[in-house]
Amino acid sequence: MSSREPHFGDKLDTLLRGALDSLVAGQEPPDHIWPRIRAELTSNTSSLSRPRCRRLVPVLPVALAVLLIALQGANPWQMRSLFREAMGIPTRDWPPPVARVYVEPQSAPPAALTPLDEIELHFLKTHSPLRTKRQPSANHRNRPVVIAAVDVLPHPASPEGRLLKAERSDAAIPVEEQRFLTGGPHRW
Amino acid sequence: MPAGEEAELVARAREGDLGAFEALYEMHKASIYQTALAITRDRLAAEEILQETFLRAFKHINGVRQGAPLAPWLHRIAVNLAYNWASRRRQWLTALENIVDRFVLPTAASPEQALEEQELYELVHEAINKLDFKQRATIVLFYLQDFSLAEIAEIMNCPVGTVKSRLHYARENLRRELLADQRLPQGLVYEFT
Repeated sequence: MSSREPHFGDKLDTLLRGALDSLVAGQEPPDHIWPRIRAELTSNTSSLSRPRCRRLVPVLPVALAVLLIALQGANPWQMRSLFREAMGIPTRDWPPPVARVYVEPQSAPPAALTPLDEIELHFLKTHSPLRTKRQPSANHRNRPVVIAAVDVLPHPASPEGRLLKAERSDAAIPVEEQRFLTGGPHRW
Repeated sequence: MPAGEEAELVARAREGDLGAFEALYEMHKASIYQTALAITRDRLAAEEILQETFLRAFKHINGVRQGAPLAPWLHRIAVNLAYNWASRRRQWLTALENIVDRFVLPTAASPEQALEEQELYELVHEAINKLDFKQRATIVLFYLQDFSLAEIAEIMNCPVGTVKSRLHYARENLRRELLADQRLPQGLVYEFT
C-alpha cells in the first residue's frame, strides 16, 4: 500500500495527514468484538446482516392487522376505512358493495305462479299487445252471413220507406220559431 | 505479513478454519476500525462496522481473488457499511452529531504547543466532516491508510479518474472551508492562499 502516486506536496497534505492520524492514533477495537464475531459465525447467523430495525418490519403490519381485526370484527371494509382514517387518507362512508346472486333451478316450478282465471285470460286475449291475430278459417269463410231485417232501414223513396215515414210522421214534431233581430246581421 | 502467508490463511478460512480467520482479523482489525472511525467519527459505529465487515468477509471469502491482497477488499466492505451508516444517521441522528463528536474526540491534556496543534486538527476534523461521504472516504483512504489511487478506485468501485477528481475537489473544499474559518492561524492562511 505504499505505491502512492506523487501528489500534492503542500501544507494542506501535511495538515490532513496529521489531523487524521491524531484522530485515530492509538485507537484499537475493543477485545469483545472477536468473541461476538465468533459467536455469530458458529451460530451460522449474522445479526448485523439483518439490521435490528428490519427485524420488526414484518411484525408491525401483522400486529396492526390483528389489532384491526379484533377491533372491527373482521369486516374488511371497516378495517380499510379505519386504516385510511389512521393514515389521513380521505374516506367515503359508502356501505360496502354487496352483490347477491341467486341461481334458481330451471326444472323447479315457481311456487308463486297461480293459474289465471277466465277474466284475466279474456283480458289478455283481447287487450294484450302480444295477442296473436286470429286467422279466418274455412268454416268462417263458408258460414252464411245472416242480417236481421229489422236492422236494415228501407230506402225513403221505396214504398216501404214511404210507409215507414208516414208512420213516424203521425207524431207532431215541434218546430222552433225563428227570431228576427233588427239592426243588421246578428253578431254573436 | 507476507502475501503468501495471508493467501494461505485465506485458503484455510475458505475451508471453514475459524483459527485462520481469527488470524486475518488480528491482521486487519486496526486499520478497518480506524478507517471506520475516521469516516464516521463514532466509536460504536466503528465497532459495529468492524464486526459486520468480518462477518461478511467470512461469508463471502470465496469471492476473494486468489493471491489478491485482502486489505482493499475488506476496506471496500467497511466503506460500504460506513456509507450505509452515514445514510441512516443523516436521516435519524443528525441532531446528535455534535454530541457524538464530543465523546469521540480525544481531550488534549498536553503542553501548550500540542494544545494549539490539537485545536488546529479540530478545525481540520470539522472541515473533513463537512465533506460529502465519497470525498470524505477518499480523503481517509488516501491520507490515513495510504492506499494508492488504483486501490481506492477498487475499494470505491469507480475509475481512477473519478478518484483523482474526488481527491482534487475534496482538497479544494477543505482549503476553502479552512480559509473561511476565522480561527485558522494567519500563517496557515498565507500558506493556503
